[in-house]
Amino acid sequence: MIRRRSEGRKEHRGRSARAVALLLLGAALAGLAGGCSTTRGLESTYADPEVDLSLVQTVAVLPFVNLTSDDRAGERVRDVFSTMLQATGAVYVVPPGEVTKAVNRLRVGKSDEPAPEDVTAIGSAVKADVVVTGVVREYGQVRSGNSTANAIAVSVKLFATESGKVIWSGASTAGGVTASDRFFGGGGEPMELVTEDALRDLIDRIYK
Amino acid sequence: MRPGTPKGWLWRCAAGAIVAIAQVTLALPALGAPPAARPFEALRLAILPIDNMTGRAIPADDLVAGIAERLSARGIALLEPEALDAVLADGRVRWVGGISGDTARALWARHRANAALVTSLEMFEDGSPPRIGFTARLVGAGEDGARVLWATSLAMAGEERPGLLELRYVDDPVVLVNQALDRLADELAAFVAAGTIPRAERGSQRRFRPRAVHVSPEAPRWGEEPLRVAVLPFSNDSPRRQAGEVLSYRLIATLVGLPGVTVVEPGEVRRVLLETRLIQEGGLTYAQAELLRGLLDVDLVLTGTVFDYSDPGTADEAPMVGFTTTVIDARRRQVASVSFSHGTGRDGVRFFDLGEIRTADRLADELLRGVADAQRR
Repeated sequence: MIRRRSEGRKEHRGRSARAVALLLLGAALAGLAGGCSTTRGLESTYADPEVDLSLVQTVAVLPFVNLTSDDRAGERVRDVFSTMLQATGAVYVVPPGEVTKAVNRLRVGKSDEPAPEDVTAIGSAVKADVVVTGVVREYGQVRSGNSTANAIAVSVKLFATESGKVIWSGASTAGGVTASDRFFGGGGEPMELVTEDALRDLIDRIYK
Repeated sequence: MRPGTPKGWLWRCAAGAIVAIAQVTLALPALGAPPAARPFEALRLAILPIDNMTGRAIPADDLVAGIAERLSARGIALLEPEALDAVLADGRVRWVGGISGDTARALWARHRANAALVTSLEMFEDGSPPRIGFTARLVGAGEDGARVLWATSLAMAGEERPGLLELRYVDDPVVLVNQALDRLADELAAFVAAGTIPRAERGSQRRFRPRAVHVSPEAPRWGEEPLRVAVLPFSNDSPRRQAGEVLSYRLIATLVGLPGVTVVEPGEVRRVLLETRLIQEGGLTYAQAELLRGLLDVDLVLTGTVFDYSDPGTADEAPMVGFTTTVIDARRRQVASVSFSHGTGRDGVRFFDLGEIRTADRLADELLRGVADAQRR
């Protein structure tokens, strides 16, 4: 059958329109799927190229500095971080009670930037290769328009107890109001899952 | 056949072998039983007043009377309440969440009561739908002090199993309380009759297993060697009042049935913590674990932190529980295991609310079962 050129053009236009519509739909779905997943902020990481973190055997996690309005946020995040770090099976994490005892005895203030001699002293007191400090910058519900969701912003630093120098530093954020929260409501993930997400990201990057 | 002939000797040998095999076969199931097994023909039970952890007024006397009535009906001899009151008054005992060795010895010496039932009511809502949650322990009393023989943890909600057309929806708190007390009495009577705790019928559900867990390769294997465990009250970082104690009692109920595991009575743990003025500032230290080992003869000390412990406020909400656990090997002075668990009552629920959990207490039981299973791997 011989078709007229105008009919073929119409058909071609129709096909193009359908392809464009499908592309737009795909892009919208991809955007929505992206919005449904947990948001993640800018990943900033420093790693000392001369240090092999896989050789670290024992870690002491100091109490995290809490810059949020939730009084217990620092302790909660530190506890989950310590547990998840030990759960990797790669390192032994000194129990928090031992760390607190050493910190009190050495009279080290709560800081994310301890002096090198403090790091060395804590390391020798608890027999740790690395001392970890952390700062919780955001913890709890955030609001965007009429939607609310849980969010966390946390950063950690690893100090070598031998030298007192920073050997790894990184920050992570998780949670927040997503597109699906705006469209469908829901209030986001529970706080502990948001915390787990951010900390898993940090631990994955430590061992990357 | 005359005795003494070669054939008679053979027959006797064969009969002896059959009897020996039968005896060994009958004894086998008892090998894995917890060490609590003891004959209960002469059980005389003291029912302690209810430990109210709900933070609100409860019908404590009615609950004790309900338990006593049901246990009596099942043939368990009870100590008269006046006699128990005298022992508690003389010992100046005000805390009834556990029983110390001294109180246990006094019960035995003065009234020949060889066990006490400790009940902690953790949730009691008489609205619609009603909810109730409690743990109960049978603590043996004798000259050697107090020891946990049996424990259970229950949590029930009126809307938990509505059934077809909501025919099984319980709206009346009295009905729910009666169901809970019947279950408690049935379980306790079954234990008293058998002398052993039945093995858990099922393991932990996948959806409630710890989100992060590590068991040290050097840690003692649960179930493979006899272990004596002290469970300390968890640190409470949740808004729920006494959530740390609630979780530790429920963990004890989970551990008591494990083969080879002996759990120290919380009343004894509390006595030692008070006498030694042991305060876990920032967590347990090796020295504190070693001290507890010396005073309580324990192998492992278990503690943790509760972050979330919330019951649903409305039908649209779900209960939420989150906690970490730390097990310290007191013999080796090292962390034996750590875990992080978190869950909601709707985790893994796909169709028609099937499998939904409506109370934080029951959710905590499921999560704790996951922790206990992880220790045994």
